[in-house]
Amino acid sequence: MITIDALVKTYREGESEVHALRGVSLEIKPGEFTAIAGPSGSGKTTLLNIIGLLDDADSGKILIDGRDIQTFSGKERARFRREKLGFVFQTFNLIPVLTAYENVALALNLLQISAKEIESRTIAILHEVGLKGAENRLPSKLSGGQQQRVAIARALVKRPLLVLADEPTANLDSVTGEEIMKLMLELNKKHGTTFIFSTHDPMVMLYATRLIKLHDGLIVSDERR
Amino acid sequence: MFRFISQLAWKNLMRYKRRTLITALAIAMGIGMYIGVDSMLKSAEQESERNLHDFETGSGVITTKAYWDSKERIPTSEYIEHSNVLLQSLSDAGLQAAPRIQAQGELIVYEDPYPVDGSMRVILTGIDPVRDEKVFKLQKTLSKGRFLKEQNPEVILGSWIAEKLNADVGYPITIVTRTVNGYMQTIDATVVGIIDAPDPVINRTGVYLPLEYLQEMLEMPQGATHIFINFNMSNVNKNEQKINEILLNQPMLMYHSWEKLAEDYLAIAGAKQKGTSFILLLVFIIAAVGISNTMLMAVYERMRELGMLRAMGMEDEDIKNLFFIEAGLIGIIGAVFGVVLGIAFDFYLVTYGFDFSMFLKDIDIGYRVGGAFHGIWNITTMISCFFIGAVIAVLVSIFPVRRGLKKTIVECLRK
Ligand SMILES: Nc1ncnc2c1ncn2[C@@H]1O[C@H](COP(=O)(O)OP(=O)(O)OP(=O)(O)O)[C@@H](O)[C@H]1O
Ligand SMILES: [Mg+2]
Repeated sequence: MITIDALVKTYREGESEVHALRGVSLEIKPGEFTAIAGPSGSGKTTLLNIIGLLDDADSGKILIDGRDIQTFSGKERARFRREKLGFVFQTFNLIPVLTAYENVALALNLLQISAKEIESRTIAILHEVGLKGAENRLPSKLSGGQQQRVAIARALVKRPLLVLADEPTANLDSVTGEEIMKLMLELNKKHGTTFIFSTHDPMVMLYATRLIKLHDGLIVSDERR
Repeated sequence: MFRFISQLAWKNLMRYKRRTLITALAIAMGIGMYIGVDSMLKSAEQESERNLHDFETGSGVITTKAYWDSKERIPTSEYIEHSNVLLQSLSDAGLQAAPRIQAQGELIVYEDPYPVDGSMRVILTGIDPVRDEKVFKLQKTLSKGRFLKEQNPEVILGSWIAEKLNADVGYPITIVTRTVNGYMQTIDATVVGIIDAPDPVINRTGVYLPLEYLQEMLEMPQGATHIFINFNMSNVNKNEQKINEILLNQPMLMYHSWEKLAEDYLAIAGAKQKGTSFILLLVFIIAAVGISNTMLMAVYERMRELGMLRAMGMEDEDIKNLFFIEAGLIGIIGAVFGVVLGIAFDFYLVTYGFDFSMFLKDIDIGYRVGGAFHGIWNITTMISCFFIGAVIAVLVSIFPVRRGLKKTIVECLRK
């Protein structure tokens, strides 16, 4: 479903150059639950951002669902993200003035979906992530774990092709982090949604069905379990 | 989509109540301040014009051409000789007129009853106690003593000049001047009254004597340097025509409108109007910067949110609209508060005013405003401020929103 070939990304800051990715190639199949692991600065975020159309590679090729995303215009990129991609961030990034329900519904509001369907899908996914009863709370009134559940619901409610999660547990304690991993895995199994997440937490890696290790912008190991 | 964005904008405003309120208040302060200052300056200008008319110029004046040509020197000897005849013709034509004499002189006071000896160069004004009232409002502003009576060696002083001399009603005062024939003349007069006029120039410089007495002392019987005329300003052309007809067979004389007479003042007014505009511009800039600053903060604060909306695939256009609608709503709320604040300022100014007279006794800032500076109801300013304030709020938010959209999403999210 995702084909990445010889992806290179170099950051230039004045004189110095940082080679964040130096030729990453990989293929991801539909429904995979993939962890990208590696030490800090190894290029995990960079890779996820490029796959998520949030950033551009300098060279290399990416096909998602058979489409060459590098040829997309700005509008097409936005549309692709809106329709096909879900994001989960380390810092949750919920809209602070919107309730849990509204944050999730927002993802559907951006699509051409009837109000009725928006409501039923939003409620359903909130229940699935275990937020029954917390629908009308603002993010500031939710715990970190609950906020990340809202973020996961927001990413999944649109039934995306792919969910990209950059260190989804890094801001959570280990117990909560594990709960979040269980939830993601459960949703992956139930809906068959493809997940790619980054981490440097060994506990989190245990949940992955495929573990790709990055080091200095290169893949050093790739194992399916 | 637009409906959804409007709802989102509205939610943002309502749920960030404190921020919305602070931002709106900053806008309101700017708008309110502008309305208040504008009200005060406009009122000062109106009052200046009114005072000028009521105490210094009337609607216009007749002088000899020779007097007019060198009026800066106050050439008393170039007076109108048979002023009574002219006054009669004016009166026959239904025009209100008052003769006056202006002459240079020196006031001299001696110790006891004055605290110290002293002297002061002044302009003496001879007024006809009866006719003067038809043009000027001097008599109504008498604050102490009584008004002048014909033929007596009496003086009425402006309140500030009296204060400066430590003069009071009943005090003797010596005036040295020159007759129109060039002889020195010493007048021993008594201060009979003090006037406290709304026109600060009168309080600061006014020295009035009875016309007939001054005519005698200056050796110019029946003479007057000025004949001031007062008519309804809504019918200027017709009245000026009447006056010019009367002057047709008087080639030595000339009529000048109050604007011409006040040209010096108006020249100041021109500069002052620039000053007024300048003050207003300053206030405008302060207000605009205040509004901009709060709006910039309000948007920059939300860079992450903007980044998340982009990551979720919201179109740039929609994001722009979202922020602009919010800015517009804040602008409108702020503008409403601002106008309310402006009305409060205006109300205070109109009813009480700000008293600057402490500072204005010794300096002439060009305004003919004594005592308190009041305000006027400046509805036009309020309306334009309302719209300009709201528009600025939107315009100013364009900048950070654009910058947010130019950045990469990754940068927005990192903040
Ligand atoms: N915007 C940028 N400008 C310059 N250098 C950058 C930028 N973003 C990332 N880098 C550099 O690129 C390299 C890879 O960064 P990246 O964020 O992808 O690493 P990471 O594996 O996600 O690390 P971490 O575990 O700390 O999140 C790092 O050396 C980083 O300093
Ligand atoms: Mg990272």
